[in-house]
Amino acid sequence: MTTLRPFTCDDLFRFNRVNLDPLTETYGLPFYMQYLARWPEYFQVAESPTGDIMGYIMGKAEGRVAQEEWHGHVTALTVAPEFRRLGLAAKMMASLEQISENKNCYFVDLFVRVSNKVAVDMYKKLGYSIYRTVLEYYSGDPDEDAYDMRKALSADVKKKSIIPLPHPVRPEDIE
Amino acid sequence: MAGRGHVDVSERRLRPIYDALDASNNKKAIQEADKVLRKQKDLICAKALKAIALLRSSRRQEALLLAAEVAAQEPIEEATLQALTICYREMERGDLVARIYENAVKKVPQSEEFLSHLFMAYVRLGEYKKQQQTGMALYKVAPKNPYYFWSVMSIVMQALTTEDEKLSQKMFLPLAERMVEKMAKDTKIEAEAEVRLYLMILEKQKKYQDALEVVVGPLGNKLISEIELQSLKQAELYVQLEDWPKANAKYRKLLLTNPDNWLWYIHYFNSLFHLVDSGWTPSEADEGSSDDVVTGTVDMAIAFVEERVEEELKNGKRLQRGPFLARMELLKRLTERGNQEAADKIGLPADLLKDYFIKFGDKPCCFMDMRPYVSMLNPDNHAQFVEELQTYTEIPDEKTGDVSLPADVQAMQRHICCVGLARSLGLQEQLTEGDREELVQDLTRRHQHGLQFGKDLLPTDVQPSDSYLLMAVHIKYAVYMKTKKLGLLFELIVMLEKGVASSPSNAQYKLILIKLYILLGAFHPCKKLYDNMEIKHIQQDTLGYFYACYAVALGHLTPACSILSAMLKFFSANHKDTTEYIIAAYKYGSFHKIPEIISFRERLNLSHNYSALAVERMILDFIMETTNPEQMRELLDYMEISPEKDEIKWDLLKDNRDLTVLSSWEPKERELTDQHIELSFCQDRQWLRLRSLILRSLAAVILMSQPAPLDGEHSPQKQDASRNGEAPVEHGNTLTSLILDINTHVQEVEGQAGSENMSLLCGPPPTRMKVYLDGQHHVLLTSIFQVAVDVHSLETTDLNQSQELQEKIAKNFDCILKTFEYVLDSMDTSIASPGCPPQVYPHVLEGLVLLVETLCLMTLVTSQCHVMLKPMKATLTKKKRKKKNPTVVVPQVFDNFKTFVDSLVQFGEKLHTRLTEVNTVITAVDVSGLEIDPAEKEAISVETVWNKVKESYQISAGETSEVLKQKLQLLRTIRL
Repeated sequence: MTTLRPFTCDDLFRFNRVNLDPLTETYGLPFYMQYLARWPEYFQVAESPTGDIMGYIMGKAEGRVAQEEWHGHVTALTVAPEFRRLGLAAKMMASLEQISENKNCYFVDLFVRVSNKVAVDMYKKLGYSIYRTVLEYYSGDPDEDAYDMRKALSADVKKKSIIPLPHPVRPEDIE
Repeated sequence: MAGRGHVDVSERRLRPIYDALDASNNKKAIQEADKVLRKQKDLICAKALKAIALLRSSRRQEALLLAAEVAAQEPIEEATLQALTICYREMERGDLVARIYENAVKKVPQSEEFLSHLFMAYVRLGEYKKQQQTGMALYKVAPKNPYYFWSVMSIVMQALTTEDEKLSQKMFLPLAERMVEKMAKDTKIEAEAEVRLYLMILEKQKKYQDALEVVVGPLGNKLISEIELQSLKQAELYVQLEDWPKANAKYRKLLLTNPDNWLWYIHYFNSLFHLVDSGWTPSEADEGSSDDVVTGTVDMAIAFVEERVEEELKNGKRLQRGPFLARMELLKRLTERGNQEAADKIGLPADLLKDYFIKFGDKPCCFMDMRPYVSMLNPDNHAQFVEELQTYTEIPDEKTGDVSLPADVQAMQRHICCVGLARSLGLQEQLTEGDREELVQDLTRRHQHGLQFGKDLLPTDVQPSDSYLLMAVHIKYAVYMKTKKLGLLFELIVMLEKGVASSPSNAQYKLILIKLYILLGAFHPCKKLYDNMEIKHIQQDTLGYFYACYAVALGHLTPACSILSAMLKFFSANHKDTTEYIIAAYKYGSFHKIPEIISFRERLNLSHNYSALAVERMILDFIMETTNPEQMRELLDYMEISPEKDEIKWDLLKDNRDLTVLSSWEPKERELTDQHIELSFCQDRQWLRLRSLILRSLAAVILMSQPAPLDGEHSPQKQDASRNGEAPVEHGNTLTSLILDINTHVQEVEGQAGSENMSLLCGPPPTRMKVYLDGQHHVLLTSIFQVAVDVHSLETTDLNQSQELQEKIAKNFDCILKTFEYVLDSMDTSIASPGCPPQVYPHVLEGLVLLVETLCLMTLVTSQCHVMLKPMKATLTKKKRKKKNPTVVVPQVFDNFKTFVDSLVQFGEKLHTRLTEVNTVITAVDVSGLEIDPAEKEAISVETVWNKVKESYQISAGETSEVLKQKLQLLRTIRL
């Protein structure tokens, strides 16, 4: 049971149960503000009947239309531990994909830690495939590689956007 | 006009300055700028860049002058304007940025670029009226839709911010509406953002019908960014219009597309009962299966919800909770309305709950889902109900008949849910002490057993069996609340520390641990726990209450400085951080987000935490950083506190604490309620008021003894203001009224005794007020402040005629010394005593820390009194010498002062000894002497916890005695 609605500034005061998860980064205000100001429809929060924040998804649309690079991007997707295994992530992903469809995006992409098998498997189940590996994308000790995963949308009729790259790339080579 | 070649030359000449600035080499930037200016005097861009470099070298005043010189020439080249903008913005003088673009626009009125810079400069300042005009000017120069709507939005902002509701409703909003209407008529509306702005304007005027027409009309088709936005808007407007049949039909239809949306069910049920209450009857049109069917009778609604349940069951995919929860919600509402007949059609509450449990009991959220609905059960049947649920989770061992441990994670989750329900229904309240302890043991055993279900999880995941341990902790803590036995806290900490070892990512564990360590008076272990959770940015505001103020309260003063300043940094950056994105919202047409971001910025700015942290930080700075009166004056200037002005907007302060972060299974009587929160916030504000009055009093003392303004690097504005003919403030009077304020405030607080904080595990922590008042700190401080006022009066009185005043001073000295002695004696109890676990007395520690603080503050005030007394004494001595007149009597006040200082030093030394004793006592209490079987020694035990507590107390004693020592040195140098 979920109410999916646009994320508002005030939700930042209440998202602790979600953000205390060690893999969910709490960013400085400018980061959230940028998304709220520029892509408000892409920042959605799932709320439980009791008003608790269950999880949220943050995304954006970017890339050049001419090169068929115009796409939706998932910046963050997270669900509080007590609300996992309810299919919530899938719902939020579907919503982001729908919004991207409405904007005539060619595909949706996201980055995920290669070690995060649960997430990688989940994205695969949702129709995403590994497009390329980005070396040392996540800084830390040691740095960790990311998979750039993609799912083609209906605008990409021939599914050109998801043909995997044969070689890994460096973070500075991605746009 | 200069040719193109000239521009290139300038650019080339300026390059080294830019490079130096980019490399943060300000000295070089200044040199390069000077070099350029020697060659080419009129290249004012170099001056503007030099101003930036000066500013960044902390030469603010020079920078301001130089920038003003450039601005006076009303430049219009882009590079110069840009440099000036950067300079002024770094000075936080956005008003001056607006001025330079105003001038540029005057010179080049057709410049789209200047106008748009000017618009954004006004946005930064929140000058909505000027925004509106600039937006229109922009639209005239370049007729693009966004400019037009910037102007419209600026009118809306005037409507939202004016305090005159009439002005808002009769002038601003109608004006904005007309402007949009005009565009609509000319079919010039292009973007979705423009339509949403239109709707915002109509809704603010409650013109819901008009709004609805926009939504269903051609403009409504532009509402596509959010899913179902057009339908949702329609449904919302029907609710606003109280058009219940249409609202009902719309939400029904939305639910057909997504039967899991809770908000839609709520609106659906609300509309339903409005219809029922108004006696709505279905017409023929509502019988069919058309999309717009109204289901306005209870029977129809029951059928609709049952259909959703059926559909969901047929679906074959993972079940969504929505329809099942909705069915319980409908049952609950019908029961509350007394419509038993209809309720019975849905079923018995117990059956529905059981059904829900069978379907979703293995989900961690099941307990939370069910809790609102167990209230439907008859309290007499609670125990039986939970027992029945248990039968679904426990498979008795065939041979022994014992209930075995769960075989898989699902069975375990179901059991966790049962225990949670039993607790929240109050079934554990009647347990005997033995049974309760057994339950705790059982839960601990189950927690251990359940760890096997999570052994494949990543260390970043929370263990599914952690809830067992948390519930055990809650049970034990409830006993602590009743008995206040500190020994229980040790046991709880051991349980949780073990928990963290097996589930290192569980933040619940860590937050509770912080709370418990602080109850024991031990701050040191908290820092690591807190840092480990990576609590940062906005979380400092929402979760900082768990620990920030205790660094000060428990005497960990050095960490306190860095903790407080890290937190304050977040707040002070807020304005700049958010304002940038208000501008972005204009640029990207996210108009509906603009008021939201502005009120968010305000909510942070008005955060109680912000004020509280700032005040504590300033008090701490005085205590830690000043060793003589001059330093105090410098520090005060830097802080820009004006004692006569209360900067805190008390009525508007916001409580931004997140008090929902901890899970709770507590029964009603221990549930955190809004009243608890309100009470605690009220107490927080009272504490802040006391602290801020003390700080302002201290500021008044400093200004009183050293009235001459310092060289004004830090506060040019302040100086400007005082030059602008404001009457000089009499700080003596200010201090007198502050003392009065403190006394009145303390009386008020004391009058409200009995509103003790319950210290719930999930509740807000109490303030230090009680320890403070018990320790008579307010008496000590107000007395010394009064001494300062009276000494100040001596300055303007003939010493020979001031007998009365001198007596008053003597009386206050006496009062201070007596009070101090009394307080010191009353704290002559041990800080710890041996036992298993050892006893510690955190309130003794808190009292000592406060006494150190108060003595430090008194020392500072005394040193300022010295500054005032010294010239008086000198004049007197001179007189004596000149007239060679032995009959000039040395007034009593000087002797009294000397005696007072000497006594204060003695008390300080005593206090210092006490702190040394803390160290000795705490070190002597050693659990290794206890009879613990070495074989049973564990990695985490009462002993290891005790060692952490011990270490923390040692730090508290060490840090406070350091500060005390430093202040005693200052006291010893005070000689008249």
